[in-house]
Amino acid sequence: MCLGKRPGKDNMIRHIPEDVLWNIFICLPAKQVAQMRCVSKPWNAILSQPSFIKSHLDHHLTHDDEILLVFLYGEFSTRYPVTAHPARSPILQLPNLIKLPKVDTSSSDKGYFIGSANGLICFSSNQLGFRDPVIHIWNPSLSALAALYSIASTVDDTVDDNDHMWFRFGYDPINDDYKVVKVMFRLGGIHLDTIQGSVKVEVYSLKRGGCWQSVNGFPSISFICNIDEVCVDGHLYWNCYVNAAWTQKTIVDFDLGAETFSEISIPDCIGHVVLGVLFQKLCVMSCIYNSGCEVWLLVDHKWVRHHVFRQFGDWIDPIGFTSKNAFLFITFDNRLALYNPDAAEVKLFTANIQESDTKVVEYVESLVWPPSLRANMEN
Amino acid sequence: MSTSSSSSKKIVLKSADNETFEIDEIVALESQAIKNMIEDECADNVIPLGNIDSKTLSKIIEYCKKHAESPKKDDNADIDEKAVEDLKSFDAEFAKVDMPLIQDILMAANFLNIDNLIGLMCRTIADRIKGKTPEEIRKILNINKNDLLSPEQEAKAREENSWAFD
Repeated sequence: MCLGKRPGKDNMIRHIPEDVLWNIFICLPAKQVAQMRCVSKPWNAILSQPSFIKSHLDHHLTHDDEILLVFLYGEFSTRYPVTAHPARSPILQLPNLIKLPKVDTSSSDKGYFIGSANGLICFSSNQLGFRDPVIHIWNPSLSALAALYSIASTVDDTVDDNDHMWFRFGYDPINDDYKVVKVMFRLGGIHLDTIQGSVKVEVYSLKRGGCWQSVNGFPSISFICNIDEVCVDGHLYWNCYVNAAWTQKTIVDFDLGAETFSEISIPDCIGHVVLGVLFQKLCVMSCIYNSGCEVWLLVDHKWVRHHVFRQFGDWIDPIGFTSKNAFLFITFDNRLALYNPDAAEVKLFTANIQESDTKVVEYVESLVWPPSLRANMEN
Repeated sequence: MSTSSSSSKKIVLKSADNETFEIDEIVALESQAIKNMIEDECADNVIPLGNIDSKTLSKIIEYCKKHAESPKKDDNADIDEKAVEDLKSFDAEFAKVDMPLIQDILMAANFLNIDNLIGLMCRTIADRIKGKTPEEIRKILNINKNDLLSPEQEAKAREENSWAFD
């Protein structure tokens, strides 16, 4: 028995099976992979496959060291630039690690962080002469930036100080689609401890493109708390207040695929609640005086108390968990910290965070760039 | 070589250019493909490898010998760090060969199903093309001219990924 036939010596790379080439490509940074699409036909075919793009993302989420992007006050501008903090070198701050998007400074000088999914970051900027802010999608690992110019589905000239507008951003894995959700709230008035007003919701699908579409069925919740939201498994979750004293909260659940709303009550007996994602599930974190920081996990529609961090004392502000399940929080002296439960060690970053509005997202090498964005590239 | 190996079972591998290599069975077992053949008892005394030349095969045997001798991670939780470092520096030295040989080794390792070696060769190729332009990569890997994109296709690929070429 003789095994195998010898391929032509002149051109070995042709004969390397696709799954092996895949393993070579997967470890390279996103921007280089994007360039390599024009090396050859077979490479272009492999590198453009959605399944490759997903594997590449998963590989970097699992293998790369965490790099955290910090949006101080939830915004970025010349005064408060986005900073990148590699977890591996805790005393190093590398603000120049990534190329920041140039938001048109003639009309606006600030970007406001909205949300992040699969390496895409969604932010808004205000443009003079337009009431609606411009929504941008940014992939820092590709240095790609696009604006979503669209026709607003509702034109309302009677906007006043009682109107508020918030945006959410999330990924729907069932339809492989990214969506921006616009929540418009009009305060009617406050009577006793109930808040009255109306809520209008519109959704922009990156797959569909074109325009915002109205969505009905927002739960009758009085007021919206803007600081806290997460996206996991095709659902967007955010915290809402239900009374005028701003003491009672509930979680609004938006199914990005079905575009329907529902409500999840907050687990019992905990204090100030912060939403997060752990093990690809919704979790809430809450620090209570004298009893540490509790983490609850939503498993099959039921809250399960997952664990309690007592070692950091009572004065930490939980932020969330990284994709490698490390616990991210702000210390009592306003420093960003990352706790790795497996190694039981805390890494302290130089970032000084005074404000609870600060957003921290994980930087990841990602080839994700929805085709509808190609026509709207900025730079 | 340890004393036990002298008494162990031998396997003979024959390269495409008819050179034979007698190795300990334990070394041959680094290859999942050969391991399966031995387990299924379909291996003759001599295993002919019609697609691997002697230069590539001797490199592969060098690799398998070293890795067969080294303590396995799962055998012993606290293997000394020196052995790990030693294997690491062996791998680094091993990969310092020219690109055609790396591709030959990768093809052969894939055929013989030697996971660690496939990984090492993939990482080596990835390291060598990291930061290189498409033109440089074509040259490094000697990409066949028939596989190149047409000028229109290339323009389209560049257009779609225009940000990446900044």
